[in-house]
Amino acid sequence: MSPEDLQALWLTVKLATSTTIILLIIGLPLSWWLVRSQSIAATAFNVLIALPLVLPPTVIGFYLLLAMGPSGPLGALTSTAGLAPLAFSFPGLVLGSVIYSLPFVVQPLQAGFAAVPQSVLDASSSLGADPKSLLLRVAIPMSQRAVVAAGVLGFAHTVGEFGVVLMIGGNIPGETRVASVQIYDHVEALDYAGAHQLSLILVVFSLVILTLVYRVWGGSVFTQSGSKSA
Amino acid sequence: MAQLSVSEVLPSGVCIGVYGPSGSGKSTFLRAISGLIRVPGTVQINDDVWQDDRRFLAPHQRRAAMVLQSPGLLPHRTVAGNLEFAIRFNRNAKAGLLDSILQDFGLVQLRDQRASTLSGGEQQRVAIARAVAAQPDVLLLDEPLTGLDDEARQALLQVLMQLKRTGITCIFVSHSAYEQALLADHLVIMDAGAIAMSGSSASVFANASPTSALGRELGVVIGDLQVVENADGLAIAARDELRIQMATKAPRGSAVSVRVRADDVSLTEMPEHQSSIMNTIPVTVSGQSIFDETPFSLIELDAFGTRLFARITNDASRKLGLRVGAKCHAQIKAAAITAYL
Amino acid sequence: MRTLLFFLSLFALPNLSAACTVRLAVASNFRATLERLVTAYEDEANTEFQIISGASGTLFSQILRGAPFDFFFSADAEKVERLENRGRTFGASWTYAIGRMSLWTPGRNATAVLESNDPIETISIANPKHAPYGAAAASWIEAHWGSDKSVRTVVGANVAQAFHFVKTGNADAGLVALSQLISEGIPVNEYVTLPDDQYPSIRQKAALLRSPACAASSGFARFLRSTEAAAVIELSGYVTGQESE
Repeated sequence: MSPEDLQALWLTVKLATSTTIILLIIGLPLSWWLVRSQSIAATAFNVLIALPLVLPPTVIGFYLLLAMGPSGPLGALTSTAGLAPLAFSFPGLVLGSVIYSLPFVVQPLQAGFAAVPQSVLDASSSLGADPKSLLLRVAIPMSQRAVVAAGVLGFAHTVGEFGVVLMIGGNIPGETRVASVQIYDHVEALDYAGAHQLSLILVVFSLVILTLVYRVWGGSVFTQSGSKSA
Repeated sequence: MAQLSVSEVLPSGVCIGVYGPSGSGKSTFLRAISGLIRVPGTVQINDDVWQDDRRFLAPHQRRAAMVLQSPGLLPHRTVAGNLEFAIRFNRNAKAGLLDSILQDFGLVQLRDQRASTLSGGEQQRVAIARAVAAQPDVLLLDEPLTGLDDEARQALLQVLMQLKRTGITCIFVSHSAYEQALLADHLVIMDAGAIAMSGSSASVFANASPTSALGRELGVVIGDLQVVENADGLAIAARDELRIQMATKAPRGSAVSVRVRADDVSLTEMPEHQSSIMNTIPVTVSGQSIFDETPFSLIELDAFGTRLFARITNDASRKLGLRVGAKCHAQIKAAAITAYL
Repeated sequence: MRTLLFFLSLFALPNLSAACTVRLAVASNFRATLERLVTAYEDEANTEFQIISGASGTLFSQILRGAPFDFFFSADAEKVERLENRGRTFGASWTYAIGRMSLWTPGRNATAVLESNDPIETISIANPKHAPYGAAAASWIEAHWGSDKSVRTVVGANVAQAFHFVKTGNADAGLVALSQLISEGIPVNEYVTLPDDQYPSIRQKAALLRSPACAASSGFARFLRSTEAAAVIELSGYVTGQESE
């Protein structure tokens, strides 16, 4: 395996880890709010979050690229904040992955939170637990499986991401050239041996993750979310 | 959810029973006090205003602790962990509270057991202990014994009776007149979202109209009876000259209370010895209510200074020539008497 | 027997409307031009041309695995030559077009940028590993800027994406195909077409993949090498090869 392949693999792990951490930080309170709120805003958010399940990744990548451009809202934001543009950068990839993998984290979390009995929440809040404590000390510990499942799915889905990265990444070694893109390059360059090697690693990784998921959760984590891969 | 229209000042430091048929608004009343639901109006506990026209405290800001029919424990925590959860939010908690609560509620053995592994009765015991650990201004109990098997229910009744003696203010919602008779010092009868009656438990049990929500549960609770004999569970308990035979496991010398429903008392002019009914008590008629809308009258009786009620048909009342001051005999089946310690 | 007959007639149906179907597999960058060529080739009725476009590498793999294409228009020479060496073509391949590469600097005069060495922040190119325009761009950059690290290079999967990065403003310059600039109607002062001796030539080869299914197939093959076709191709921003056949 070439140093470039190793670099791509390492970058993939880095991207998936950062994305998963951010997804959990955002996803936990967001899912909690979505489960508890009956507002129209919550319904609208549910629909928005689920969009990446339905839309081709290229569509998301395409609009992200437009948004990150100098005339796009994200581009305007980064330039007024004096930050580097997001396109072709690792932070840009993280942002894209967060949006793209959000439903894979939010949906298992929602299912987990919805299963927390109302009686536990009522009793806990009457004992003095404020909304933050309800989330941190009641809902999350009672939904441990859902939290782990959400993290695993978010990680795995980010590893398998291709379309969005291809659209906004710019194929920069060590910055945006992740394993899936590297495999694509090998195939396009007719370097099938290179493609096989790297693919094998991803296949083994996916098998391990899925076996783990089915072993520990009996596959029930998938009942809440359809999966559509890049 | 039932509509709620309640305006009432209730005593503190006692157990307030809230009784009524399902759908009468009992739970709504309790949840409104706790702040779990928002009903317009004012809630004030002692000097603290929990809600009025201007403000509404969230449930966690109200010093109320709630026990629901479902224990609502944190399944991933141990018994001690569940109590610690309540103590964590209790700003007035002193060191040693956890241990003393475990002790008081007989939970020392279960201390390190995960809540999810406990039986239903044990879970509810922990839930009550946990609510007490919050040291609330008012303890809210919403049908805490419903759905438990009889043994667990009896055991928890004992726990609640002990608790009541500590002088904690509690509001106890239950549709069981039996539980209410045991626990309520002050009884509120709810019907269609409003308070139909409110007063001391004894007066409400005695004075409820037969058409009220209390209905067939109307009766008296006679306390401080002494078990003078007990032969294989059939016991005789006495207070002064009043002697009542009943089924109880209470040993000789112990004190019991009994509940006698008006429907279970019949009247006869002469004592009948050839009867299956074991209790025949000489009484004097001290009051009589005839309700035109029902075929029954309610007769208030004096038995050696203790009040009893009998519900009999209007016809029977006329045939016996009952009027205030008349003497007759009350008959009560031993099997109809509920006794408790 | 009844079902079988029905089954057969189901498959026979398309041939009622078009006696002959010619499938053209084409690299994405040449698709628009090929459509123009098909329109220009006024075929007798009953011939249907189907255009299948994609990345040359993908089409190549599909052809190797027996995809039913009649023609293959690759974005490079290598893939067609590989097929030819393996005996997977019908007759010899030929260079149907030579790509011309332009430096595109939207909002700026490209000639001025090139001559005065105006700073370029991010330049977008196609993937040098597998896209011919990418290889050309990489060698041009190497020759012109050498190890000048002030220019950041971003790589699109193909020249279409390289164009797209510039179009959306995410890169301020790009080394793209002249054919793209023409078909998108980009103002001529925004780009400068680079002399073809400054980068390895982008020879795009085509081949007939199987014996002509009908007269239209061989007719189209002849048409592609006519002056009329050459005019269409050159107007689209390519040079036509002289070294063919």
